[in-house]
Amino acid sequence: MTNYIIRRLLLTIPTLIGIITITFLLMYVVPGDPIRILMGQRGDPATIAMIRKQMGLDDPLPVQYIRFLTNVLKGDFGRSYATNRPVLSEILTRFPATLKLALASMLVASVIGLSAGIISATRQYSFFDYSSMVVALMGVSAPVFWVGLLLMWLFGYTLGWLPISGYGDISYLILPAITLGIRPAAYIARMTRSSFLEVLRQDYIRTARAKGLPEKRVIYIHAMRNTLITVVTILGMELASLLSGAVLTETIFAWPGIGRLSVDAIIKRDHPMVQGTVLFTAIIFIFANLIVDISYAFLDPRIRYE
Amino acid sequence: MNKESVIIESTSYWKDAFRRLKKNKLAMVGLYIIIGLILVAIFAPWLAPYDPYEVSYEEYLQPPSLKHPLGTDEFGRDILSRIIYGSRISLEVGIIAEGIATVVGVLLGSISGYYGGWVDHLIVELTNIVFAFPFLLFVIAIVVSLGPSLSNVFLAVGALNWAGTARLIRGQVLSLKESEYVEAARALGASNIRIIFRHILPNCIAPIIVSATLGMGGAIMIESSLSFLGLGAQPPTPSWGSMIDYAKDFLRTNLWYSFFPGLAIMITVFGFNLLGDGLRDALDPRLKI
Amino acid sequence: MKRFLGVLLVLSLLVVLFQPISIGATKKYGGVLRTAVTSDPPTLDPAQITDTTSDMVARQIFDGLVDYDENLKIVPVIARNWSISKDGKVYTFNLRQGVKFHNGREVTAEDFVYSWKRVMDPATKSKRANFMEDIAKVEAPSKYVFRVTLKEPRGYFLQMLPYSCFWVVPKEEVERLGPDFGSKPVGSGPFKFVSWTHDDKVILEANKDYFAGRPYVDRLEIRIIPDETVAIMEFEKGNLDWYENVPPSELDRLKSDPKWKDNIIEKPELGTYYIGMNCQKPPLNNKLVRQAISYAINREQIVKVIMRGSAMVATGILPPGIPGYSKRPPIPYDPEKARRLLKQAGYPDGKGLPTLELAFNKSATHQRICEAIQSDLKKVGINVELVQMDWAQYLEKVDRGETQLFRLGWIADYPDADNFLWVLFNSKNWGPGGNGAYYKNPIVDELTDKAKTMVPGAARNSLYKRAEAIILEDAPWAPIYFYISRAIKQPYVMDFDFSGMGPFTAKLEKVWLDK
Repeated sequence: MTNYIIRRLLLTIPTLIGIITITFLLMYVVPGDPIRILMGQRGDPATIAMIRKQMGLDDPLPVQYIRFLTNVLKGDFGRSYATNRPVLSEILTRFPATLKLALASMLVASVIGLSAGIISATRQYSFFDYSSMVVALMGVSAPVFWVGLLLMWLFGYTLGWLPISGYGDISYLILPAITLGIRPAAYIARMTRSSFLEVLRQDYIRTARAKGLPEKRVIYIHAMRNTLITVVTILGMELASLLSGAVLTETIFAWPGIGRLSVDAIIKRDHPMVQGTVLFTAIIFIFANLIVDISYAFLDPRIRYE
Repeated sequence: MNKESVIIESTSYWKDAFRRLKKNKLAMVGLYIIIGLILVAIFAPWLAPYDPYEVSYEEYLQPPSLKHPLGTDEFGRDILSRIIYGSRISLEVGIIAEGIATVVGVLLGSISGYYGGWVDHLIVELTNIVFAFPFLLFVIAIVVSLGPSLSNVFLAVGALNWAGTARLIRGQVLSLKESEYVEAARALGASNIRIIFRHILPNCIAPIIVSATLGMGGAIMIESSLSFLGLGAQPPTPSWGSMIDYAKDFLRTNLWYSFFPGLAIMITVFGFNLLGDGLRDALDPRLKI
Repeated sequence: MKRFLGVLLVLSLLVVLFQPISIGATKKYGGVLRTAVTSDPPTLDPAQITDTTSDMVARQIFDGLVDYDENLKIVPVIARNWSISKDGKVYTFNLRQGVKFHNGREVTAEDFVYSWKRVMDPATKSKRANFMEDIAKVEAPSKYVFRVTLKEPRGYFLQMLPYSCFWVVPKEEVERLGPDFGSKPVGSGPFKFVSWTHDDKVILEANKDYFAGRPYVDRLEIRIIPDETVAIMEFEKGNLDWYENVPPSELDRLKSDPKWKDNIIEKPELGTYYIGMNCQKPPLNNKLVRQAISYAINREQIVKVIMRGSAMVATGILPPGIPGYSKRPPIPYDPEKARRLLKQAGYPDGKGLPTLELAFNKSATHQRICEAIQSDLKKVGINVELVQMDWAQYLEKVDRGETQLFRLGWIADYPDADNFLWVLFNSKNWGPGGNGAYYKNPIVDELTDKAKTMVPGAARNSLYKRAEAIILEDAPWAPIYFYISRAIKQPYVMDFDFSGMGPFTAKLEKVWLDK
């Protein structure tokens, strides 16, 4: 197992270098000057030239690339062009908010998704089954920003049960978490239902039933374990994408997360910040994948990593 | 196995699949929604009660009425007509963007799975990078450097969505290439290209169709979020996403304005998902995605 | 009847009794004043500030020599008074004694010398280093005397001084904090920096030792809420005390609501929204085509319907409130005249005229305005294609003159006609310097160059008046509207006011809460 993890981690190195290089080239190709944009609508050309020179932005591309790569290897991600704050600390200050929101929405997604999926599967073709699947499909199809604004308007503004926006105690977390959790919840519900149904048809479940084990135990122990593999896969993927920030939800709910930081960095052509957020996102993604793969081994004894 | 028997088998396979699909009520609902949508898009000029670009300031933000069943926007334009024309954009995005993704994904996936070796490593690494790369940055980079237009959105969405298809097809090809009839074809001296296109890919058609229909719904959603960020269809072309973006400002005063385009997106994506689900069950009941 | 008289008597007594109290209510101390801005301030270092969001927060923490009052008159702050030499080149400021930085040290003339030289130093990488280019020398002849010598006289020099790069910063703190000074600022202003959760909230507290007396409120809380619709919901719920970015779409509703209509403060802002036309590119290098475009735009409709009356129809380049502004009749909406001009230019009914590109940066409001203009121009036979870009790319395109028609809004850096007519129309400033329309007229160049060095007054203003008339005739711009700045406040927020520069200049130390 340890060997497997080490090998997987080593394999991420080429992926990460590839990502750094692609990002570097992309930012270089994309039109727009990071210094010019900081000047406001009018930028004195001499001042722009002076600042570009001070920051080494006029150096040849390979020189800039090597400089950046060596700094990253030394653990120095540089400072943001726009704010002059260290990139790493900017990312790390946003991370708790992002993590909270991601975990909370995963909780919403798994609780709603699993229970709806299981009920649907055990009462296949019932009214509940059809209606919950229709609702789930709608959840997958509804634009996030639209749902978010409506939830906020209803529960925050009109009813006043929850705060409208901002970052604070758990009450601030509920609406954005629901907004973000609806899509994965719907997804999980559908997947749970189908994998549950599939398991119920398998031979060993029939065997278990034939052995006279009580129905409920059959469902919850045998079927559940297999279903969890599917659910963990979805949760892992969703978590990875949520940890890289949910820009629309963060924008609407004024949530200080990574998504706003990274989109803002792109808009401002803030190269070091873009590199930092992209790399951070990629690492999170790779780790989430690894954790998902490892958790398979725990959920399904048949899977072994050598 | 001679040619004839393959054909006979495949026709009965499609017949069976269609019979299974017809039995699935939800999937048929999905199919009708999509067919309806295609008809609406084709016949938009005849169906739309008004010119979707016709500005009429006297009719600023009117609530739904007999004259304007879904009300008017802040330019006095008829929302129903704009939604009808907007269906063209959504369909185009769904079909073209997902089409690009499917073609690229199938090609790279089958090359990767069939040839193996360093080509396989390279392509797998590429899909890993695409998966780990922030989607938004890529789209913004493409749209910004090539200019914001719908075709560049197609390109961006296509350039990213291929990775999932490639991964799926690679897995299928890996298992199929060891199968007996592929071995047989190889023994008979068929070229690699011929084996891939004549013997392997036809057997992957089910997962391809399913992932494409599901992906179309996804692409439509992406266009609407991109419009929300100002990267989608260019004004005054009505797209559902950009309509919601405009309508957001009037959420408090004119809720219906954002409601109808939102509903249109929901119904369409809903339709694609229902159909995709149904096709999955019909084409291959064992298939899981 | 008797009873009625009795009631009347009691009522009038009540009125007499309570009136003096309500009029002479003493200002209350304490409380938290809450507002929101749409983006996290990039920096709070005065040498680096270029945006009004950062400026709004930083001006609570820092002070300069002088500032504007509510009528844009220059009033003393740290400078007690000043004198200007006869040749207009030497400015001598006498500083107040006992003004202290938040770390307790007294502000002296040396601090101004340091702060200004810091902006000039290339190592600081100040984006406003060019604001110092008129200065030949800064010196401190004594502890409380600060003297500036200019290379040439500048009519607007005093008007520029409230700008953030001229504020005073403490050397020891700048050196101690290094690049982090912009995140943990120390100044001498009415509020002290407490904390800043990026993308969430900035908190400042009253500086009890402020030289002009402590601010009324104890704390300022500035939230960062990117979406204006959301911020308005927060405001109406009572979670914000004042807010400045009221979107036009909400204005009708708020203005007709009895609860808010008397709590919306509006002032003409020193800014002009315009469609620029690249004067070097055919067919826009033809003056007649440019004029035709300008006449074909229905400005009133744009202001009334799209902006919901939240702006004024532009009558020229200079907005009211700028010294040198001249009252002109509105630019008429005259599609007939536009057609005639097009015909004269050789494009009858727009025949032969290529489709023009109208570029704008992403924003629902810009998009709406550009859509309206597109539909107006179509009526006279001019076909326009809209091109939406993101801000960085847009700036680059306009700078390089790669656009045909483009929208921009210029808001004054300092209240002087020079900041419009020289910056935006002098051919020295082609491209990033401000003249994105690539306009060149030797007479305008000469007039604006000359007016730059003149002392403020009628003679200087008359040059600007002439220059503006020529520019309007040449039509490198189709001015659309003059901005109105606006803030909405809770009824209990008292003495809230701001200068014509915009609500970001509100003097929050004067505000008190009556609750």
